[in-house]
Amino acid sequence: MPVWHEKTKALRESGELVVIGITQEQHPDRCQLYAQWQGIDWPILWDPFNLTGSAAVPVVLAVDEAGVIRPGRLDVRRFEEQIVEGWMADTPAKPGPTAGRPYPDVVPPSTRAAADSVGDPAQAALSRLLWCRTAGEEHLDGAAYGAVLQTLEQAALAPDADPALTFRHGVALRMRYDSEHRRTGDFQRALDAWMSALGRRPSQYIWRRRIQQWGPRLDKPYPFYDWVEEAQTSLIAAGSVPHPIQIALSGAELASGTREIPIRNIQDSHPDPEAALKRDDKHLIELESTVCLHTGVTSKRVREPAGSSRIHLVLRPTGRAHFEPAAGPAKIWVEVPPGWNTPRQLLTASSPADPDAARLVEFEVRPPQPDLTKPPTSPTLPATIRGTAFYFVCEDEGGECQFLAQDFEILIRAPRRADDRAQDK
Amino acid sequence: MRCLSFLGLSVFLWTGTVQASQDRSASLLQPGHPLPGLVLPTIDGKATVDLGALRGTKVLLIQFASW
Repeated sequence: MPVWHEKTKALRESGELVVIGITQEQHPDRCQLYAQWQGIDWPILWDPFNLTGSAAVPVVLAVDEAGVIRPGRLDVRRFEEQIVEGWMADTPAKPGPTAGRPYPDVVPPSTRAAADSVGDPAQAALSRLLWCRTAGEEHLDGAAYGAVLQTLEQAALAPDADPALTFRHGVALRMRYDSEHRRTGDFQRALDAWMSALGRRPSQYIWRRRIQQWGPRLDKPYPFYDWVEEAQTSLIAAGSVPHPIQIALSGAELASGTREIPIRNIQDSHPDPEAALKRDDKHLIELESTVCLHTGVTSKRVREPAGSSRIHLVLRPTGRAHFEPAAGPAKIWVEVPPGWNTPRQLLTASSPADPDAARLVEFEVRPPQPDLTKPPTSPTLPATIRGTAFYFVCEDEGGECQFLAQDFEILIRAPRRADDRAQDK
Repeated sequence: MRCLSFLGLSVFLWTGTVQASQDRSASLLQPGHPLPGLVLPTIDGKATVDLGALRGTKVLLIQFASW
């Protein structure tokens, strides 16, 4: 985008051309930071539900004065030929009322009343989610989130429903997951919805990227947000305050892709081999696991690597206890089924200074690699990952502090495919 | 101004519904067709823009992601 920004500068400043961006990213604050870093001063619209229906990005479209999209694929390398000497010269634009203004036809955020008055309940629900973050709008409480999610789920499950509705239901679930009204399982349900939608429309790369953002490195086309640190550093060096990132970046969002299957090369020792440590019977800490599968499993043609997954674990105080950062970070011991692989078994969770903040840890698992010289034998999925979390917590009432352990199981299962759904009918 | 926004929303919702029933895989942004009446907020949440109301000026619409 910086190239388009630079190339269009003169035309924008003269008022002959208006540039508007659209991003389908789940989190708009990251695009805000990017725009700040790159000095982009034209408006960027937020379309997390992909209401525009785009199948991939980047796409650049020329729209004439009548509001009609011109045919033809625009290439920034042919900017002079296509835009300056072609489109602009072909039908010279008159500097319109937008000259000197940042962008045209900007209207204040719509109102909740407008969203509520829409006839289609699912569309009204999307509108409320889309606009609840805009200035002057009422933020959704837990009950409102529940109502709009129920509406979207019903629409997505309707017979012959467009898979786009399933994708949008997933976006809404992830929105609630990022809010204070989070329900356990929201992130997993979001990923399941996106997988289901992608299985029915495999060429939808906006949907595929939404999964890969949190998926295993084997499935990543590129690191998604590895530029964030550079942007923040650069802005600070220039004397600016970087736009804040509201939702912390996950390890998956920073990791680079890989085309190799790493083998286990670190021999860890179990921190509690006799299982002597007291278990968290009071449920002081909630442990939430989310499995993000390789998107290849949505396609019947790609049988492997079925099960290659990135697992997101969150340790969250349930409101009656808090972590004690001085005692060190929480540890996670992971055991994979025979033949499966994970780079290491003993993992260290994040350790923020806030004792009430959730602790995060991510790891990847890979199934046995198939012997292509033999016919397929038993399926790799479902599979169960077992493990134990170790942490030091203090109860808010009474102040008792102790090391506790919590055992867990994580089921990795294949998503349902489009033909599976068809057979159900 | 709020009325304008509401009008844009209504147009989007109507247009989107029709489009979905006719061609479920199509983008709303099709060459040769007018921009849809689609109201989207800016990423800073300070305003909305009605694509369907963009008239009288050449517009370059750039769909992208920061990644």
